[in-house]
Amino acid sequence: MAASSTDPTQQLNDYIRTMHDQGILDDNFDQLLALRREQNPRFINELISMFTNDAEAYIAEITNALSLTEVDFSTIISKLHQLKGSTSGIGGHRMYQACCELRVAADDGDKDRCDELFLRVKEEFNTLKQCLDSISQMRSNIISNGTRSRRRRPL
Amino acid sequence: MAPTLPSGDQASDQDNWDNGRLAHKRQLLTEIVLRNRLTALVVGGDTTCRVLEQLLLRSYGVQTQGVDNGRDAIALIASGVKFNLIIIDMILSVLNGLEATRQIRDMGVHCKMLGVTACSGESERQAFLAAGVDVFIEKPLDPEHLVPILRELDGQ
Repeated sequence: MAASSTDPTQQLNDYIRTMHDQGILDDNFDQLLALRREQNPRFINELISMFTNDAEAYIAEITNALSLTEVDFSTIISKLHQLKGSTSGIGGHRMYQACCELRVAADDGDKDRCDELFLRVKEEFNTLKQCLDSISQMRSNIISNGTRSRRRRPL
Repeated sequence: MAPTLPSGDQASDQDNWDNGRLAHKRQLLTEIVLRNRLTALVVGGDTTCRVLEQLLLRSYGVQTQGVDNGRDAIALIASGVKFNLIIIDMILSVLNGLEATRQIRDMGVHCKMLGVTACSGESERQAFLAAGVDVFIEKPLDPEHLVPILRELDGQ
């Protein structure tokens, strides 16, 4: 059956391609998709959930470190390192770039610049999260439809 | 490797995911077949990265274990467990990657060690190499870096 614009799988492919074009996702996300065949069908959704939970925790810790009277740049750098790593692993290109810029400001001990760049990190995270949530939902629908199709198969 | 996806309709839906961009990535995942049973320890503080690294290693048939801090890595190795490969993050809780690497080498462990980090500065690279890793890789771990190392360990 030829793929059409209403084909859920084609829609997902088109969406991912658009996210690439906008720089939200990069080739590292493709690497996850390539791993997909070797794992359970839902592993990418689980990974996305894992990343989102980790990232929210790191962002909360950086928020706290920035809010202190004496800014804890050491904690910021440490949590940012982990946030950068997981973001690059999931393929969040723009968010990764924002983290790199914040890292420079943190290394310089520049609180004002850190505040400004951290806002951008959070904005890019929200964008990436929405993107990944959409991908998760679309994949769940595809998997569910595939399950229903198999159940309708005649014996 | 036995397929993990159900056969039939769902597999054909998954086939529709293929495009040129994925083809190259997938090719790298099937590029080698290991003749020997290799084992790896992944030491990483970030859950997402550690899970990704273990998944990638397992996709090549490498048996992996993961710990999230340097102290547990030292304890595991001290208990006598042997690994062909140790992948260790620079920033870890409890015992950082640099110190954990030094202690692992001081224990007489000579296996291949890959230092991975989200930081790519020359000073970080030199520090990690000086601590005892054989290779320094900027995250994320990818097949382009991993395949040659696995080939070497497999004697190919």
